[in-house]
Amino acid sequence: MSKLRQKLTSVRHKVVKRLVVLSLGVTSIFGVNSFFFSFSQNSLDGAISHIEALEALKTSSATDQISTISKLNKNSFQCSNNYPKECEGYFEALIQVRNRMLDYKITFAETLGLKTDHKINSQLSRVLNQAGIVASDAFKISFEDAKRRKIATAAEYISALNFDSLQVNNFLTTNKRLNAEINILYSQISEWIDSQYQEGKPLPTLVNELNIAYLILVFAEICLFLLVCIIDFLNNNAYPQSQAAQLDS
Amino acid sequence: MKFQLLPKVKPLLISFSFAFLSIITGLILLSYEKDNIVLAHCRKLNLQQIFSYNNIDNIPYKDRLQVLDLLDSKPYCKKYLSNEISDQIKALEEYPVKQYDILYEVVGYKIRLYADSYNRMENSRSEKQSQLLISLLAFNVASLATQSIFLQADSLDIEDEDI
Repeated sequence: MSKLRQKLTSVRHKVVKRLVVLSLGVTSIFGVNSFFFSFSQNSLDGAISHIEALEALKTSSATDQISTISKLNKNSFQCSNNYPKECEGYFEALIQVRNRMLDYKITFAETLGLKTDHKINSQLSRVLNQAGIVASDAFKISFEDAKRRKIATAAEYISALNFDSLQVNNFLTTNKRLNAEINILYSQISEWIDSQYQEGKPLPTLVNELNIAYLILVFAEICLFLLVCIIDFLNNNAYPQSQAAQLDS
Repeated sequence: MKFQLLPKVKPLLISFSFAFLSIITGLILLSYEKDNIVLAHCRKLNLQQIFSYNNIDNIPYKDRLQVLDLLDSKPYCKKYLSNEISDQIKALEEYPVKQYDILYEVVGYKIRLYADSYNRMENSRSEKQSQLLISLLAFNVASLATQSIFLQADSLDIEDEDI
């Protein structure tokens, strides 16, 4: 092999060797960054699901608070005026409150991942308990008794009551306590929603992190492509031995 | 030293260009996919608002304003609005309304504007994505075709060297 050929080959080979090392370095950057990209995407997905659940809870709890309390107040007024004959509507509202609290328990545990010992869960139990006290103290038939006696509707419940043993004062006191517990619950839910928004990273920050990971990914992939192209080009554009000999002569 | 381009390398360079185009197309598709996460989220929030708006009649009239105030879009969702709809929403927001009946109409109109915009944006993105996917395939095929021409020339070179 001639000197020129040797010189050409050695310069090309040295460049190729360096480019290969560089491309392996870029590949490592790409590999590490693709992990971060995937991680950022998962964080964004998780944050989005949480925000969607919080937004749904925020609107529905605001609506529930207004409608539940207003329905209880409206019906309790009617019920206390002609106690207990006109209490069918109130009992329906009471059942709705109870069912709503059970829905909240499921939502908080399964969708929002709230711990069982959280104060909202305790407050939910207090509301459920107070609803039970209204039934057993004010109407003298607990929910369990009603179930045992196969009472299926509010009308059946009212007709099963022993009117002589009931006192309107009991009703007014227990209902007032129930209202207070419901108000405490909704204010706790509202506080918790606000704290959740402040706890995690804001969504625009997560989007920015994902964008940065994406840009690094783009940069690394284009760099790697160009490096491989240059290596391929240098290898294929090298003179074959016969032509190198001609060049020398 | 004089730089010379071997004839067999020309199809290789063309193949590189097509491969580069397919990489760029793939990256654009990935970018679309990345943005779709937030767009789908904004669309879902909008659907939740439509649901709450439609159920507002179930709550007492005097308390409805409290719920209407909650039905506002997130600031980061505003980037998915078209310029025309963005201007309309700005115009609506310029005049603060306190009266429930008017606010009810305004909020409903805004929610519908957002829904329209997200819908149009999703449709146009889906159309562009399908076009990009076809382009990606075409660039890949073109790259492989030109690569095969180069390989033929390369094979001839190997034959020459053997002789």
